[in-house]
Amino acid sequence: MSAITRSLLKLRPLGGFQGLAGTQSARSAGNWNKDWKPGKYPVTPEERAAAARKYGLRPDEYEPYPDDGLGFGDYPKLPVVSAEARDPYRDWDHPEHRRDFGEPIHASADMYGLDRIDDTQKPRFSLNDQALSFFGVMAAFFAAYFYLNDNKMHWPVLPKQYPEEGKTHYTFEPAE
Amino acid sequence: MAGGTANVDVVKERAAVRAAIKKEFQKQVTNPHRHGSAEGGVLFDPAVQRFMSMRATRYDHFKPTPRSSLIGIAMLAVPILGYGWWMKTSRENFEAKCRTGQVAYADREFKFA
Repeated sequence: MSAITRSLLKLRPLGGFQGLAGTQSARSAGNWNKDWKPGKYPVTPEERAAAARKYGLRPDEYEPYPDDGLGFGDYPKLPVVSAEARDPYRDWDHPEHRRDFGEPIHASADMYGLDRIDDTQKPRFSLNDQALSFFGVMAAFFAAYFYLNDNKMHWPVLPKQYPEEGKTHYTFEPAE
Repeated sequence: MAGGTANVDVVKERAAVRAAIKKEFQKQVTNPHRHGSAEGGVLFDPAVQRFMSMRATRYDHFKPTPRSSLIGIAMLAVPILGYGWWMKTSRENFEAKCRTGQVAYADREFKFA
């Protein structure tokens, strides 16, 4: 990617096959994490500019995560835009991810995919509405249960009537 | 990319770079002489590779600070050890009550037969 942007920004013809595939043949040994992992947190302006260039960003829009022990080195802190929030009709290079080739990926991008959460847009119902609806309905169910649990109701019935008053009739219930 | 800027020149420059990268992508993806056999035919994307390598090497940038240590204790040590301690003590208490006769057999939740 840096090879592409470097050559494109200098408006040099890439020479077809050699432009991108030439670098591929040089990396025929495979891509190792030690070559592609983020460097350490950039401190000086020169390090920041080099890191911005490496990730294909302008120096004024490059911002690393703070180095507080839970950071990512010099990986940029990109504005998080969920995949669902992106234009579905634009001609993306990878339409299943709504992402272009070479676009730097957010550090939590797997969380913001099309099948995962999207909290980057304005929600259709505010969080207050959602909470109120849910707890209101659950409270109504619980209230109905607790009120009716001790007041079991049944049809109004009279004792069973047997023929011939005064005679003893036996039922066959087990003795309790 | 998202993030607003009112500077028209910056927007135009970004759009020009994006268009050039897109054009190069199309050229490479439709190149019949490109042998991407080592990568499964997929055009190598350095941004994806950097992301994957970053996720694999996050521990290199971890430093045990008070905040990070507190997060680790609260989210890992406390739930695991606390749950184990609670299970052990609650089971032991019930066992002691059964063995000393404080709980009748009829009141037990799980009977033997």
